[in-house]
Amino acid sequence: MAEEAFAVPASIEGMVDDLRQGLLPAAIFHDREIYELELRRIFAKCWVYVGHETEIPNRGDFVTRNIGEDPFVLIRDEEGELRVLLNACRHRGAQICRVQAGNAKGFVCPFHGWAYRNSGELIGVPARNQGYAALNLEDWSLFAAPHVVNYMGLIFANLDREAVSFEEYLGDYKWYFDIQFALSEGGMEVLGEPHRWLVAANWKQGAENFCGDSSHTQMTHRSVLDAGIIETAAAGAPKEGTGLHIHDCSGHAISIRQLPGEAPFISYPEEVTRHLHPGVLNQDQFDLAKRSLLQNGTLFPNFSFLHIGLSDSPQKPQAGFLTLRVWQPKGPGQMEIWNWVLAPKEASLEYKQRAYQVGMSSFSPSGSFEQDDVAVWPGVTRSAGTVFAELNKVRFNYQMGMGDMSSSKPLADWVGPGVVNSTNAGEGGLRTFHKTWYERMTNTKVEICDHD
Amino acid sequence: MTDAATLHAGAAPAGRLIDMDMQRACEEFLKQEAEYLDDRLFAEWFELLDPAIIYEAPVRTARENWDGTGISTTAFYLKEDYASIEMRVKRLRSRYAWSESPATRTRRIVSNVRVTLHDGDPSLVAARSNLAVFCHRGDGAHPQILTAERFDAIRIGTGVSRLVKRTAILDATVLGLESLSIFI
Ligand code: FES
Ligand SMILES: [Fe+2]
Repeated sequence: MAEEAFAVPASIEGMVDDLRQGLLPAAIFHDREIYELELRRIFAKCWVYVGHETEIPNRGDFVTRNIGEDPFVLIRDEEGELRVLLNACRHRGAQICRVQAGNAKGFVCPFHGWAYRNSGELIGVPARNQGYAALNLEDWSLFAAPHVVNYMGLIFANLDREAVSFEEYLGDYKWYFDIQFALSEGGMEVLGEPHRWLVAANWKQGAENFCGDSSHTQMTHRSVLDAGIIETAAAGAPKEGTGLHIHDCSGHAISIRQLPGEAPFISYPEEVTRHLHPGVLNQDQFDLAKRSLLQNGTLFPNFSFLHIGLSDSPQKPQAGFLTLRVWQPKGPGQMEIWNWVLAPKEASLEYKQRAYQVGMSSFSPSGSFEQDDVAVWPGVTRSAGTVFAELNKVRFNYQMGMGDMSSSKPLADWVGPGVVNSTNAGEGGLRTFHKTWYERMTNTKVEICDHD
Repeated sequence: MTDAATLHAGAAPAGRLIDMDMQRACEEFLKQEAEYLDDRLFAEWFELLDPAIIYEAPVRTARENWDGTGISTTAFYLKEDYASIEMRVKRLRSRYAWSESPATRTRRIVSNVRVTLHDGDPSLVAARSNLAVFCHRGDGAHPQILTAERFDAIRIGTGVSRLVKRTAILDATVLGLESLSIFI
């Protein structure tokens, strides 16, 4: 990080002391000034997820995506190169692409007809000889994200020319992150177009939740326990031994549920697990996947994953799947959720359809789990926006599992990186997220030793 | 991608309309269904479903006009069978189903019902209808409005009729509702 610290907005002055106590100023979920700074200090500088290579397999395939609130076109150009092009004509700014997906050799601007190749190069300007004779076409390509990376099929972009590499950004978190995407040799495949829907909550609500909010499941998702499609092992009360909370892992966090002495392997059936091999993973990573009922995490800022097995009916067997999320900011009080369902590429078509069905039935706008998350989250945003919260400098409580709150101490002999607790009765992952957030917002380092 | 016409659940070519009694029976069936759902009589509503039901609502995306309808064949908001709908109905009975407690107050408007013979199965009719659902939640003053066209296959029987297949094509590409916790 550069030396110069950014000015701290008034509503989060003293936030380091709050974080040290496990408290969080409500204003971060509401304040317009904070939000505007997030777009500039976080979304314009961090690695942001824009799509998966299996969404655009052929040359010319494109999808429209956002970085912060800015519109981009993610396209595979004629050379096969992945480009993240700003969806704005270099002439006078009209949108060159007005659909959500398709295939194009290039784009012709609907305003005055400037024509671009799908690599972004400007190749034609109408009436050029009469009016733009001296225009150097090379200088007027579409703006593009300076850094684009394809990491195990995941495409991330970074708008900051000075950004550190994606690998460096991922840091030690790679150890857990790779497990989600490298279990099968062919990697994971996106099954269909994303769900997109609007929720009246701040984007951080979803992002922090996936960092390890294990204590919400037994309450928020109690109806699904009642309906009998998930066992208490996967969604019940936090317990010593069944849950692992891993936080302070290069600024990111992950939560894992396991069945002691069993190998549920994310509820993938044998017809899928026979395609799963360590490959680029080491044996410890592979064994952890085997022991896992589920794994969920957030790569800061707004990319989350949940690797889990569920069913759409208690009468049917569970099926493993991976859901990917983008918590798209849409103003301080609103986000758009993007959801993709994935399965290992080697799985049969039949299994993929089943995995999709199960993924959709649990985590999507109609998902039996997700419906209830988004029913609860808007309340937080509303509370954060109260005059009462502002006048009384209300802080929310994120102290669960912290210091004297818990007798459980981090594991000393854990095989992977990060600070690891063998109980999931804690909010250490969420604290990690907000520490990283504060660091990014202020361009400072927060040294807080967090014994979850 | 799917062509909207092929979604017509095996509908016979246009013009092969069926007699008015059958048209009337279909309309009454769809109105009864809407009433059960608006009144939250889910057990009664579930009785209207055939055990072999296929119930789908695909995702759609905005595409160029020459690039198909944008209706997905692989992504869905709902892709249900009898057992999965039963689970959804069962979940709604839990007092902890926060998305529907307090319940969404819905008002379904079903119109433009067009009924034809079903091509594949003589025991079925194909009904195409427009649907608008006004959804009021909590103390919000304004409804979220969901519109869709539905392509149904219905078995009209004496006394009991059953929904055998439904494909509901939502008009939205981004849902304005925070969740799709209602049946469409
Ligand atoms: S704004 Fe695109 S050609 Fe003028
Ligand atoms: Fe949840």
